[in-house]
Amino acid sequence: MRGPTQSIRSKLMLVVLVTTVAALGIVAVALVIYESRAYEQAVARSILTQAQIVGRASAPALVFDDPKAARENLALLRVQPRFQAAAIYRPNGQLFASYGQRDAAGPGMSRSDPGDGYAIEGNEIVVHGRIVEGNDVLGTVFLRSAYALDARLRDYLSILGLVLVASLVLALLLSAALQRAITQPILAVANVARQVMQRRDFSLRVAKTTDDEVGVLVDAFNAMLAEVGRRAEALESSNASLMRESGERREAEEALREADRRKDEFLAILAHELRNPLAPLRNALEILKRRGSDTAVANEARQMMERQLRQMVRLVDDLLDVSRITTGKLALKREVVPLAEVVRSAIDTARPLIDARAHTLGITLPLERVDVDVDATRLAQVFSNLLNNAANYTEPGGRIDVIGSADEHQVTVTIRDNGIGIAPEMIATVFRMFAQADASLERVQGGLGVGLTLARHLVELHGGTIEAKSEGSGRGSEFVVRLPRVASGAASAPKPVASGSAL
Amino acid sequence: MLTRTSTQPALRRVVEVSLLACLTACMLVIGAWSTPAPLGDGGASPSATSVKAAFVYRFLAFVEWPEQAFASADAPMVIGVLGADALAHELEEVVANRRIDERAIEVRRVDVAHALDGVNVLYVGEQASSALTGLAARAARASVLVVSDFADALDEGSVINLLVVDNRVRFEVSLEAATRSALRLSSRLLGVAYRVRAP
Repeated sequence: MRGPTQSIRSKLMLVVLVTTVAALGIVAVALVIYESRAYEQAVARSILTQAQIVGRASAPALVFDDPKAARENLALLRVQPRFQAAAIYRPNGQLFASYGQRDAAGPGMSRSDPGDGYAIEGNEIVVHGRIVEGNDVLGTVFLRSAYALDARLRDYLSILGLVLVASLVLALLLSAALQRAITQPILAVANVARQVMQRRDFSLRVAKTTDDEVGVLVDAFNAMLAEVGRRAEALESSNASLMRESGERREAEEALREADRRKDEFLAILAHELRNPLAPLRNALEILKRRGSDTAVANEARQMMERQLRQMVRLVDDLLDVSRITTGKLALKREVVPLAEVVRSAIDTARPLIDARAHTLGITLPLERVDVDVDATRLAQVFSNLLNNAANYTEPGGRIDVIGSADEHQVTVTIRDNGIGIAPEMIATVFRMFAQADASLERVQGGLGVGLTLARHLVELHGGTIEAKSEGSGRGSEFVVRLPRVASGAASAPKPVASGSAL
Repeated sequence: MLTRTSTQPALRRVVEVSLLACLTACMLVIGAWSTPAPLGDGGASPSATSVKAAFVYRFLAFVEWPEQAFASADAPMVIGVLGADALAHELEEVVANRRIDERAIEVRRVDVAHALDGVNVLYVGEQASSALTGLAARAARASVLVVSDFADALDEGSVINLLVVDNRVRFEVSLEAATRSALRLSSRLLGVAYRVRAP
């Protein structure tokens, strides 16, 4: 591909060359014409001078009729080889003396007193000059000389040729140097245009270096680039937002599908969970029906039924709470209360189960009063859930610790046990609905599956976080709840802790 | 500016023919008026006397006289002719209406007694050759150009002596006599002299 760079430069060069050649050509023609005429005149004049000298020298010879002396005079011309022939004619055309083999006068020339003049015959010039002595015309001298106009013109033309070549070279050099001023701005525009085409980068601009027409072009080009850039950008951003929207839609669809799947799963587990206690209840009823008289057995059956019922009630209550939270219908009744009160209330709730499984409970609370702005009932529900979990997932006779601590901004409550722990891969999912650590254990212990989900929702409603930690299966678990602390001075009168809302 | 002569053959021929016609016509008219033909214009074998007369006239242009030789700036150039009546006649015709250095030219036939009275040039013919010896010294003092026409005239004190060589009129010059006469002869004249006698 032929670059535009070469094209505009070579065009300018061509213009300069053609102009120079035309101008020099005209000058050369004029010079040659002038020179050939001037040369002819100069040669004729110079030869005429010689003719007049010869004539004057020969005048006495003519006067005293001495052709020999005249011949001797003419013969002196031999020192100049260009003189081919010379002759002196009397005014009546009679030959008086001559020099050279040939006739000096041309074939058609008048010999009888033609005056001063010259004629050119091919490569020779014949000049004739009148010989005058006093008032008398004595004769005419003819000189025939070589006339090297051709050679002269050849020399002249070769010099002109050299001048032409030198002028062209000089013109080329000068134009190469000067055309930069014209081509540079245009080339800059072309360069940027090419880059824009190649890179699709409309932020490029041409630097404006002149205020002439090219400057106007540069301004217009830059303005056009800006306009195109703006439009391309608008198009691109609308494309991007379309892409983003479709991506979001895809993600939303995916999430919906996932939620749907989870809901199905949830429904299956829920049905299973609701179904589980029914078998023991039916068995207990059967026992009561058949052996109602046996007080010991009936008592045991009744206790089992109570336990199962309590389990179901808790499950359904939790589900209701989760449902309320997710539908946004749960309103927290916030008040500033001491943390210790909430913790104790939770322990009171969980105490029967802990005692039933013969666990040792250690409680560590900060000595100072630490206030939190919470719904005390709901927060106690969170802690009691965690305590129940700890009690359930720890072999009987284990140890459970409740540790409260506080710094300037935040309150931390850690509930730790030395129970079955959580496998590392399960840590991330324990807060999901019906994520049970061990299905087999659940059956025995009467698992919840909803409790941790509820706990997380409630803590987050309070602006806090909950975190599960475990060093692995069989190495105990630790749940850490962090809540924002409020200044103790702002504490209102403590209210009595509500109890029995859960469990 | 020099004019270049046309060498175009046809035109040249026409010009040539018409020029020739004109020339012929002119010659006829001139012949009819019987005007003496100027020297060297190709008249049919001019006589030796007329050539000599022309020579005498032509010498004037190549000789320079001292100032005191003439009474005034417009005094005529007087040529005295001694012992050569035929030549005097020819000479009168030659110099008619001619001037030399703005001077009129006068031809006088003189005798020996008054040969040098008021003349600038004295022509001594062969008939008066014996008189030359007596005149030469005075002529030299008066700066008179002595032109003679007989053998050995230079020995007698003549400045220019005419002679005929191979049927052509020639002349010899004595520079000694010229110097004695306080006359200056042009070197161009000497160039065509048959003989120059140097001092």
